[in-house]
Amino acid sequence: MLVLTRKSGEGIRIGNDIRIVVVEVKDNHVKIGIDAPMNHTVHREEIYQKILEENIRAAGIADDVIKRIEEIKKKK
Amino acid sequence: MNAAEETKTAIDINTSRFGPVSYTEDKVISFVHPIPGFERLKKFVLIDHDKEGRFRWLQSIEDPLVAFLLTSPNFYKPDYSVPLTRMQTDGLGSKDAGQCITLVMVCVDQRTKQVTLNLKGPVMFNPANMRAMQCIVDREDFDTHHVISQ
Repeated sequence: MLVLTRKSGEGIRIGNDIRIVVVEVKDNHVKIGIDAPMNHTVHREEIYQKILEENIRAAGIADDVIKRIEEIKKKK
Repeated sequence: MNAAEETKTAIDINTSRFGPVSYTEDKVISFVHPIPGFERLKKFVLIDHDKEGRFRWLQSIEDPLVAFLLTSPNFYKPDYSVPLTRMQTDGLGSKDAGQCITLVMVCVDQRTKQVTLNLKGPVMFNPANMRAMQCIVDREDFDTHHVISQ
């Protein structure tokens, strides 16, 4: 991983069209501003990972558990 | 062959879950952003799981092994709505969220058999242009494991 040192107000450019700016540094928190074109989605890493894990889990849903869905439908 | 005929030509895929599935080009849903964990897959079709349309399968047409079970979240959580950003509505080619159908992924835990909905990663679908995306909602009250069964 490339590691750069930046001060508050300074930025980083990725390619021609992605700009990342360190907006504020305070104690253990860093506020980061991101300018990116529409075809790039931007997410906090841990939330992205959580969705990724959940998607993999959802795709692995076993055929034998489908009957649980039928049970739920009957209850409603 | 003209364009109209082309979209009506049935294409067959052999899926792991449903066996042979036939679809026409006009039924293909295109994801404008990749689904996290499934970056290679952009094209899907919706297959009804039941007559009522309560549960539907999002079947990849590029990988016959991949299908997600989806449902309408409002049946289980009437006040649920996805706060779409301008970027997201633009990506879906819709003026507002009302034009889009909101679906969420269903998960059944192998061990506990608990059925959960992923409210944090809804699949938004615009039927007018067949575009879809999985939105990631950065909100504490949107749970990835919203339990609908015990």
